[in-house]
Amino acid sequence: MSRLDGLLRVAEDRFLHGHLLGRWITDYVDLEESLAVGSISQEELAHAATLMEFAGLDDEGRDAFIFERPVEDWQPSALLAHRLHDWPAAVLRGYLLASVGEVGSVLLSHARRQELQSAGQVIAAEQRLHVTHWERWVRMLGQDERTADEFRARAAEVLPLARDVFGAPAFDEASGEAAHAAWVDAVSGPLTAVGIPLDALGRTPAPRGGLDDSELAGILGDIRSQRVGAGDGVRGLYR
Amino acid sequence: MSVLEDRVRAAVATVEDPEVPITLQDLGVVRDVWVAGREARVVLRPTRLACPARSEMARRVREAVLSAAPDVHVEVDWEIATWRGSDVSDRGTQVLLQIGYADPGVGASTACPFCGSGDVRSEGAFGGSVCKVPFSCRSCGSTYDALKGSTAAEVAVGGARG
Repeated sequence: MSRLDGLLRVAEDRFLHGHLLGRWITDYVDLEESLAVGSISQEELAHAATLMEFAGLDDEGRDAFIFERPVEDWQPSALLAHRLHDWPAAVLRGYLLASVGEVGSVLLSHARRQELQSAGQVIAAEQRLHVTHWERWVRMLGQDERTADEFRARAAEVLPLARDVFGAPAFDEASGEAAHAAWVDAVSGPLTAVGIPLDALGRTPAPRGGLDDSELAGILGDIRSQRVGAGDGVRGLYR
Repeated sequence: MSVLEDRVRAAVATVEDPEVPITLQDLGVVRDVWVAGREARVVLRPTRLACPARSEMARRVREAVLSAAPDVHVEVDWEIATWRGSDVSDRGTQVLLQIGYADPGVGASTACPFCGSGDVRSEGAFGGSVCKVPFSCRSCGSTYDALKGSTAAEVAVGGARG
C-alpha cells in the first residue's frame, strides 16, 4: 500500500470521528460544550478533506470515497467502528484521537513534499487545541469521585479499541511503531493521573481489520442517509 | 506589473469576508495575485482549515477578478499553511477593533475593544465560529471575540498552540 493510501486510512478515521461526535452537538445540554464539540467535529471533517486532497482526490473523488465505497473497503480503527453511547466514552475517544492527530500530523510535517509538511503543521496545531479541550474533561471526569469509577470502567472498554490507531500502513512499520510509542507517551500522564492503566494500548500498533462484529455498516448507513434523505420526515426539513 | 494585473489586484482587494466586514486582503487571507496573459491566479490562506466560508470566499474572489478582467481564466487556490493574527494589516486591525474584536496582533493584549479594560474573562476556547474564541469584559459587561491565531486567543485556550 502506498503512502498516499495511508493518508486515506487516516482520513477515514478523522471523517468518522467528525460524524460520530456530531450527535453531541444537540445531545449535550451545555451551550459552551455544544460549541466546542461542533467546532471539533467540523475540524475533523476538514482535516479528513485535506488529507483526501493530498492523496489526490478532487471534490467528486472525495464524495465517492465517503459515500459510494462498499463497507468492505473501509479500514478504520476499531475505535471508530463502534458508536460508544455515553459522554465519558466520547471524551476518551476524543482525547485519544486528538492525540493521535497531533502525533501523526507532526510526522507528516517531516514529509518530503513541502506542501504536506505545511499541512502537517497546520493540522497538528489544530489538533493540539482539541487535545487541550479533551484533557480538561479527562481531569474532570477522572478526578471527581461521583464520576471517576464510571470513567475508569469506560476506559477499560474504550482503550483496547484504540490499539490499531497506528496500525494503518500510513507509514512503514518502524514509523508506525515510533508514532505509537510517541502517542502512548503523550497520553500516559493525563490518563495515569486519573488511575487509567495504559496496558490496553499495547507497546506496538495492532493491525487494522477484524471489524466483522463492529457497527461500521450501520454508521456508514447513517452517513449515507444524510445524503440520500432518510424517511423519518425530519431531515427533509433542512433540504 | 501590467495595467491588467493592477486592475485585478485592485478588484481582489475589495472582496469582503462573508462573515466579518473586513476585506480578505486586510484579513491576510489573500496571499498572492498573479496575472499573465489570459490566466489569473489568486492564492488564499484559510484562518482555520474548517472555515465554512471558504467556497464563498473563492466565489467572491473569482467574481471580482472577472469584473476587472472578463476574458481571463481564473484559478483560486488554497494554500494550507498557518494563518496568524499578525497577518492582519494595520488597517484590518483598526477595523476589527472598531467592530468589537480583540487586537489580532501577535503579542497584543486581550483588552476589551469597547472600553480598553484589561479586566476581562475568557469564556472558553471555542466560540460561534471555528476561528473565534469568546471573551467578556468585567468592566463594561461587553462580550467580544478574539481570532484564533492571535495572542489573545492563545491566552484563552490555556497555552494551546492552535
